[in-house]
Amino acid sequence: MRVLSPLGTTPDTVMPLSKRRASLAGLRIGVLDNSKPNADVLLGRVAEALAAGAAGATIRHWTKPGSSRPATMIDEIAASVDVLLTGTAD
Amino acid sequence: MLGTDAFLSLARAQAARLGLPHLAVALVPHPVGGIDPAIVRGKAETIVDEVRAALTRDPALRARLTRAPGAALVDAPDDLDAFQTWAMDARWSDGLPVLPSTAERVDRLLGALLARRREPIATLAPLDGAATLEAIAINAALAGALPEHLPVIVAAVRALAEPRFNLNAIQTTTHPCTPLVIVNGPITARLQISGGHNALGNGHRANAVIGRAVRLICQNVGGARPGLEDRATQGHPGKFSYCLAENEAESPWEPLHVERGFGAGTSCVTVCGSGGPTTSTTTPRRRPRRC
Repeated sequence: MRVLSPLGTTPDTVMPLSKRRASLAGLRIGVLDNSKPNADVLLGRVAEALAAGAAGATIRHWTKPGSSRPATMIDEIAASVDVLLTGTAD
Repeated sequence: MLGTDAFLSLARAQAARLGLPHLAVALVPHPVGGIDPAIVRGKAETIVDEVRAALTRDPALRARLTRAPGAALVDAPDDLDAFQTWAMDARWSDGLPVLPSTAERVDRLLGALLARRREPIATLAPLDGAATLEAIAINAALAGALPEHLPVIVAAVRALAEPRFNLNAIQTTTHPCTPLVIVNGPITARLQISGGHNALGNGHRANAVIGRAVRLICQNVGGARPGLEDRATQGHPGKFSYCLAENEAESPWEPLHVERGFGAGTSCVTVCGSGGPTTSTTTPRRRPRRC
């Protein structure tokens, strides 16, 4: 028999990512803690290690108001850093 | 984006939903939470080079996740038992037998709405699936719903998509919660949606099929497949179907829809992210006792 698929169609737009930099020197690194346990530890350590190998790199931290809630400060982050490290889920 | 290997499917789904299927995702072994921070820092060290590379090399554009369009007609086994296995393999099913979503059955469900079948009702997280009237009816057909149930199911879908409901979190969380559909007003009597004995249990067709249709829509249209985008650790039985009417006649409280600003004679659907039911009961004493 023939049946109709119940799956939803999803949008097919693909957004461009920012142009990558050749070097991390002077990079403004952002860390967005998604509020999950130890996310700050994982993200913070990766940021520290990146900054350690990049002269003049800086790190700035933000924390989401809750793991299931949107990052309301996203515009501020976009204006403040060159890259952002964040976590998804647990 | 950083995550653990157990959540790769969800990370990819979330990135694709944002139009970023090519976003770099660096993974450490699960878990990160609930362990010594020193171990977490050790896990972080293993991905530093990968993150550095992701920040200094332009990403190759990955193929976009593609899903079959809702209206696609596909070949399925004629035999009903074989159809169950086929539907399960296609991940259309919830595990219980589903009825074939033939064009005839879907058209019958849509009835007077047939001409509006392509009308979008909502976009459902996590994959931003388009819940057209047709997509809703197809899932209702799988669930065994009747045409008269469709308005309740459509209203529930609209409610699910309200931003303040945060469907994305409900659909993808490790918590067992799922949308509970609460129906108020005269439609509950007309459709025999139970708010009485065993309302959350077996024995009520309208409760069973409306709740089940909503669940299948969440899974198939929203794109929350158990173990992939739906990360519930153990879930609960209400994830098969979770729908009841408020027992307005016997309740000492104002009906939910009235409390929320609607007229008592208006039929309303409320959705609420809910865990498993818990009984709250008192055993009558012979004499009242002052607390």
